[in-house]
Amino acid sequence: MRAPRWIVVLGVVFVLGVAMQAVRPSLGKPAGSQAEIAAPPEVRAILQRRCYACHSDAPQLAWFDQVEPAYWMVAKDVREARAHLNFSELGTKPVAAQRAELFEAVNMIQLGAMPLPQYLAVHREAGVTPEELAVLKTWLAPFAPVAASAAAPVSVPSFGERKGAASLSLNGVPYFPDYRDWKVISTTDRGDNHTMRIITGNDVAIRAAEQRKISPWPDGSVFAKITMASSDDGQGHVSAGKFVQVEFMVKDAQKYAATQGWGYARYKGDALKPYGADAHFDRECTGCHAPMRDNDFVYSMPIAREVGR
Amino acid sequence: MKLRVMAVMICLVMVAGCQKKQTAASDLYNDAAMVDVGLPYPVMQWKPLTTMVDRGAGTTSTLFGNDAAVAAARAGQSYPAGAVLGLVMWRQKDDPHWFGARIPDGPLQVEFVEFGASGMRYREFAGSPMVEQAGAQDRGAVIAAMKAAALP
Repeated sequence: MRAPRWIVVLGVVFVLGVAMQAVRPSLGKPAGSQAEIAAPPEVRAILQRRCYACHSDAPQLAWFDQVEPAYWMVAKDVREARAHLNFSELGTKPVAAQRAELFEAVNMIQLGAMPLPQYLAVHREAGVTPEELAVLKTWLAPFAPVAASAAAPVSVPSFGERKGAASLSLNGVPYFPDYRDWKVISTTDRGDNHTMRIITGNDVAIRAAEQRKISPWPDGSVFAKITMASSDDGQGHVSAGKFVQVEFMVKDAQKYAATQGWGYARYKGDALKPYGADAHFDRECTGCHAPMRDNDFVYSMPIAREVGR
Repeated sequence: MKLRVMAVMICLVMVAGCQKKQTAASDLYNDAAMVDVGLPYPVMQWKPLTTMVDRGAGTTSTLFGNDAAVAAARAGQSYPAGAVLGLVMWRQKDDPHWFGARIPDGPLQVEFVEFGASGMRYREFAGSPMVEQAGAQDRGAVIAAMKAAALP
């Protein structure tokens, strides 16, 4: 008397299912130094409740996250999350870097990119509430007034000769020496990191903005985001000081298909030193720009222009 | 019957998934910040020299120059005859895409400083549409003293 086929199949599935449970990638503590950020209790409570599940050395998993094959996916996501932002170790970074990461986190929440939609689909109560987001924003206070005592004197160095970059960006995205002669797309006043930016665009980009054909931006469009340190005189008069960096976005849907159709580069300081440790540094760029996919990954809205002259 | 309904549903879902979402123009362009085209100079076609913010007034301004003005400003020389500076001032608004950033909102005024053989002439335009303001306080010297941001 042989068992019916469906019983056999069910049995095999069951045995495999049990066997799967034995394969458990470790999510133990990485060997990083442990230090959390200094923040008021209500802020820490929100971060712990909403972010620590994945972005900390003590991931909190629901029982159904622990069952294979779900656990493999969860483990991969948690490792990726930690690599990007780990609240158990954020306190070891310089204060400016901590602030940059916190602003990015709040913006990812505001843009609906965090918590991950696929995580929210399963963990329905895990989303950040509007009230919680407001607490985080109030705490970060990007435009808090600068006391006169803390005012830094403005020093605008004199304008040097046009230089080339020290070397090429590691992902091969070129340096465009004409960036300072391009027309203005927009400007931004960045309270999160005390800089001011002028965004310029090459002729292709400017023409696309004039003709209102930027969805998507045409191949050949190039933006330069020129960043200068901002200084407040203590009376709320903020001016552009020292050059910090220039960043480029170059549109070529085919050539840069692996990075959302854009080539990203950042050249830092008067030496225009290319940013990044290896050719894949631009994952930082694409990660941050991903929530803007409906705007062809571009954050800046061009100031409306009259149609092509 | 059920199968057919299912098949139709699946097709609909697939088609819906392929539709590219249209992004609203209001989320693509900063229309509020457009600068009038009826001014004596096409200031938004010029090169930028520097930018500044007044927290108390909630305004952001960018200094532009025609080619003669830009060349002089970058070289640290005095402005020659024919040089024109344009200072555009906008109201500020929060950047809808980035908490911690503010961007231009509606333009408030545009000031021009025209350099000639016999000194400079200050002109102020304000309102919507922008019209030249008679008897505006002369800020020519203040604007002429602004330094170009040093860009490598």
